[in-house]
Amino acid sequence: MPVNVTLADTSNGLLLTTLILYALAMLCYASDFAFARHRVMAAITDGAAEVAAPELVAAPELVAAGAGGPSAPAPAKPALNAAVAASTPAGPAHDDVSASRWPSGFWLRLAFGLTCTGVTLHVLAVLTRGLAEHRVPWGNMYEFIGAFTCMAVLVLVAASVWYRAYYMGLFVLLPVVLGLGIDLTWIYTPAGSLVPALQSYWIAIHVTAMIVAIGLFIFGAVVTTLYLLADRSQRRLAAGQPSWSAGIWRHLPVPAVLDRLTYRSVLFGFPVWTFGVMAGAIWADHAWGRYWGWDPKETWSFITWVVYAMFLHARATAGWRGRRAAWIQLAGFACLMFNVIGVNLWITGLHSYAGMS
Amino acid sequence: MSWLPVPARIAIGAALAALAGLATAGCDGGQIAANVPQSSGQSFVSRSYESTFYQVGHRPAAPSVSGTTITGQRLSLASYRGKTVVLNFWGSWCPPCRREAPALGTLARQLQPDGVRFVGIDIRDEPDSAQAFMQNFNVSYPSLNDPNDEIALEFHSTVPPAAIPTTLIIDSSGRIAARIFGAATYTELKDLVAKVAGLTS
Amino acid sequence: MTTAKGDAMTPAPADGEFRAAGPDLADPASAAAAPTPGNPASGRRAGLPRTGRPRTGRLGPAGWLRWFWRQLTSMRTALILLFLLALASVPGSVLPQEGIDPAAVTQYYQSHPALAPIFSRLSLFNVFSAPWFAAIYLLLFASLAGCVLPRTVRLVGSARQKPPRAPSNLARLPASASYTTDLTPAAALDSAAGLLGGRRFRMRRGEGWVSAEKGYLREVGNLLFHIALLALLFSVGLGGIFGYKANRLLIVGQGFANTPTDLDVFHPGRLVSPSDLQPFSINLQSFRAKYVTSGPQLDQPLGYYAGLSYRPQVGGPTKHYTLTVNHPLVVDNVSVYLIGHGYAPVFKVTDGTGRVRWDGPVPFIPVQQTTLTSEGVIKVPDAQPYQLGFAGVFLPSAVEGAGGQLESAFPGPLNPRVSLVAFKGNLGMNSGEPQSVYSLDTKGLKQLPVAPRPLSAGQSVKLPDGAGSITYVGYQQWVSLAITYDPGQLPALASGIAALAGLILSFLIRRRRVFVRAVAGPDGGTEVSLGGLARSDAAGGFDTEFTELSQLLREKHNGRSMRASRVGDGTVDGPADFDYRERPRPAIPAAPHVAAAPANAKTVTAETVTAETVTAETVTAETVTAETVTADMATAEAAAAANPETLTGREEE
Repeated sequence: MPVNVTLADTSNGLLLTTLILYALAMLCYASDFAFARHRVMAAITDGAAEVAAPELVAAPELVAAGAGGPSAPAPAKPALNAAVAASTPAGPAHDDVSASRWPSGFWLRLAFGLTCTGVTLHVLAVLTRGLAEHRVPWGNMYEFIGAFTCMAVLVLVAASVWYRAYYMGLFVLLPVVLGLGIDLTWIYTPAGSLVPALQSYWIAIHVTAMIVAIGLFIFGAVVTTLYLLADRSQRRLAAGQPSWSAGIWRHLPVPAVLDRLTYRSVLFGFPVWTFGVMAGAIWADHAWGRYWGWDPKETWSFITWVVYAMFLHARATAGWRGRRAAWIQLAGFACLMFNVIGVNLWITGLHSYAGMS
Repeated sequence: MSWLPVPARIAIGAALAALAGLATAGCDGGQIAANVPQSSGQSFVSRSYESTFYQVGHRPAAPSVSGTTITGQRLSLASYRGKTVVLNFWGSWCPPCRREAPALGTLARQLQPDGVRFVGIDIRDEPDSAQAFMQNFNVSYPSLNDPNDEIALEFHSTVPPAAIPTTLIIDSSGRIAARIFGAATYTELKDLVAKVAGLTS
Repeated sequence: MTTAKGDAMTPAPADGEFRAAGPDLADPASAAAAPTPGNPASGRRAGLPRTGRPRTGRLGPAGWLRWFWRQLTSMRTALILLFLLALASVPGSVLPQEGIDPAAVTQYYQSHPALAPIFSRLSLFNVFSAPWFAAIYLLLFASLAGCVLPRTVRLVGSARQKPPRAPSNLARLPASASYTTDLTPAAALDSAAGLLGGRRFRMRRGEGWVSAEKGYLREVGNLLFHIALLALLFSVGLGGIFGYKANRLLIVGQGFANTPTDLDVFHPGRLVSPSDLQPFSINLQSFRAKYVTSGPQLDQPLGYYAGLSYRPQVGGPTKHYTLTVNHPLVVDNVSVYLIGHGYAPVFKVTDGTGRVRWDGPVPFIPVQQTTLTSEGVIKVPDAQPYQLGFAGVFLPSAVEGAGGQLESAFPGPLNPRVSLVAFKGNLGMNSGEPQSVYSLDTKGLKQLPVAPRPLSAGQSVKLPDGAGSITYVGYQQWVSLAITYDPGQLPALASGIAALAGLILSFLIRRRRVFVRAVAGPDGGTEVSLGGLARSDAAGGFDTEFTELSQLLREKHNGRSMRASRVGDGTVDGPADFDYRERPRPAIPAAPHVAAAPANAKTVTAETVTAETVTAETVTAETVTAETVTADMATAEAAAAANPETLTGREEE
């Protein structure tokens, strides 16, 4: 069936609009950081706010007290507990947190609105491209990047609403915008049909799973990067050294929360990646006669899997949680990016469906 | 090394000589799995010469083999019952087969009066090249034309030829008595045939 | 056992450093066990020898084995081995591999003459079958097995185990709540037990307390995943030993039978013999390739269709099948795949005596993938008076390119042309040395002075010196088939599915404990206190559940004046856990410069004072470091009381 050129053009236009909306959203997120200095979430009571404070105040206390020997920090903990107990209002402790999931403040609302509009258009762009080509719209690098950046923003929106991670907006949109920009300018491929090797229903299973996993891993990688930077800043401050980036981290929750968020995203992404690799193996068996042939792409997805498995093992090993695990995750993400882009461009193999020169 | 699986032993034919070709602007052509076909020359490199003699009582029955010869006549192995038959799988394109051809031709003529018959099975060959081969090497015995290797398939449950050239020696009661993988030499083949046929050399 | 006097293994008493001066300061328990003259055995408790000197004996072979095994099955070793596995795979993807593309390896030798032999010696051209690669994954799987199998045994053993007793002070647990109710303690506990039991917690009742635990399936999922990985490895090995892979090139009109003589490439597993091959035969009746003929995707193939007829058994019925790329033919448990195609021009060679010595197609191999420009070789070893050889280029759609050269513009056969170079002499085939049918060894050959010109169908070239002539008759097409038999395929798939199921199970379920205590209060009411903790809950989620439970229970008991604590670090779980709040953070006061602070202070940062370090799982022998010792002795103790089994020497997860 010939390609529907009108729909293909519509897809291109939608994607360009998406890019512009994401860029504007980034500006709005940044404005929110700059201008909404003292905004507090509507439903968070003073009690909850106070809870955060003693934790931070306690840190230097503990540090100072630590110099006094092993027994000194022990009283700090009961002091912490006391602070917590004192600050908690009578009555159910956790009701308030469920009250408001939605963003507050003009800039944040605008930013989130732009993000949601952008991602809707993004989904439409992918959809119209698929309709134009009468097939699943991930058959070459251009379409693939468009799809997983879309997934990354969907994860951002979901995390924003469910985990109230609105602060991630600026940081996740940054690589998405860059990626889409490069995709539209240098990697663009006109709509067309699939080569015979890709003509199978497995493309809807294997490649879709990979796209979902990549979106989750992108989100996790951005959060981990922030975690490492914020943690470093915090340690510098705790040691009395200046940290020029501390102003940025004031807009984010404590590094421990970021750590938890990134662990969640890998927890979601790892099984999906595992499933994607398995589905790829089954498809490879259908198409090429063997389910695992150490093709470069297969090898690199295996390497990515192993490194993310390392991350999960590190989280369960004393001394490896926190910063070391975060670095392992970043290494895994680097392998992932090489797998997705580098192998297509620089290494030849059965998987060279880039479709570009 | 090893039993290390499938991945490492992967057929060279499934080799990815790459869909690298895909990467030309706008042209997504290319092979399915762009393998570079490997010559069947590989199949007889891996085997070295090997000869086996089966004791009486341990000899599998030869399947009934019949077909058309290269020159177009009908031929059936059953018609040789009662005689010792040397069955040789060959092809004109196969260098080891060419090497053993003079020995086979000579032996065929020498052992004819002793009641030994030679029959060839010509695999993956065109009639013209096969006849040229027979003329060149002065081969006097007939060969069945088996372009699709179906005759070898008949032997699969008994003594399948694992590579060519393969020579099977069938005794007078129609049982496979000996087998040679690889290019046979004059003396070895003569000794083996004599052993099977009970000839005094 | 060492004697009091010391022997070759213990230092002589003279150095005096380790004299038993008194109880070991780091180990209060040893005070009680310090050796006294009247009780020489009491030093055993702390591992001190009778004389108070440290035991410095050497390990015996059994001791070393045990040490090696403990190291191998530790998490840290697993981490290192995983890292090595990933690292070792890298050269396998970046350098050309023998098993995948031998031609590229040869090319690498030519382009890197100095490096290539070194790489070859290190097996870098054959990474995945190299002994060192095998060592890595075998060690990893040994480590895995050594860790997983005992845990499986333990899990099975603990299947009926009851939860532990409730600790006395529930307020020290990471999540706790308490309220007052008018019910009697017994009634309160009964309804609590009812609620928890209704949520499928495993229960244990005692004097004034209820202890409940849930989430055992997590460990099941974890172990299932790891055991499935082991099973996967075995399945892959099974396929490698009992399976085989083969290739065959078929020209339209040709057929082949599944015997080693008829296969171009045959890689049998260790225990596969030729008689194990399934005896089917396949005939290629037609082949069609469709290409994009216009637009930006010109030359892109749209589909390949190979019409086959096949017989599953010798002498059985003939069936038909159209083989396409993603739809292999499965015959007798063997799969046949379409993996390549090309052109086979047909030639007729007449030799010097006028006899036809060759009349048939010759497969040409594509050298240009998009336009299928192909090269091939024709060998006529029985031509008289001279042996003849030809090397040719086939262009399916020949057009004149820039510079006057002919080139192919399209992969379909729109204007097929062949151009040949002729040789005579000795092809080298009579010596018995194997040769590839796709290449010509020109050592013993002399090129004939015939100008190569592109022939169209029917045209011939007359060779000089009475060597004969060659006619290009037409063209045929060929396909390349991969034949694979892998008995380990289904077990591998089953293992993969089991692994995925185990993974999801272990990620979704968390193991947690909830305790309820009810004590008659001073003013007539009952003080109900709840406490809970989750093992390995680094991702959070337990506090929402605990909150919900405590709410429900309070409502059920009509409790009042509820007090609830938050998780130790002030962040709560659930949606608020990942709160975006702009809150006025206090400026961190310039603390006294603690660059020279001892290790315990450095590790006590806001990061370590989190729910993680406070939960019992971190209280293991390995982690009894300054982190947890300084931060929270009391909670550790309480949590340890709730989780005695985590006080093992190994990290649990």
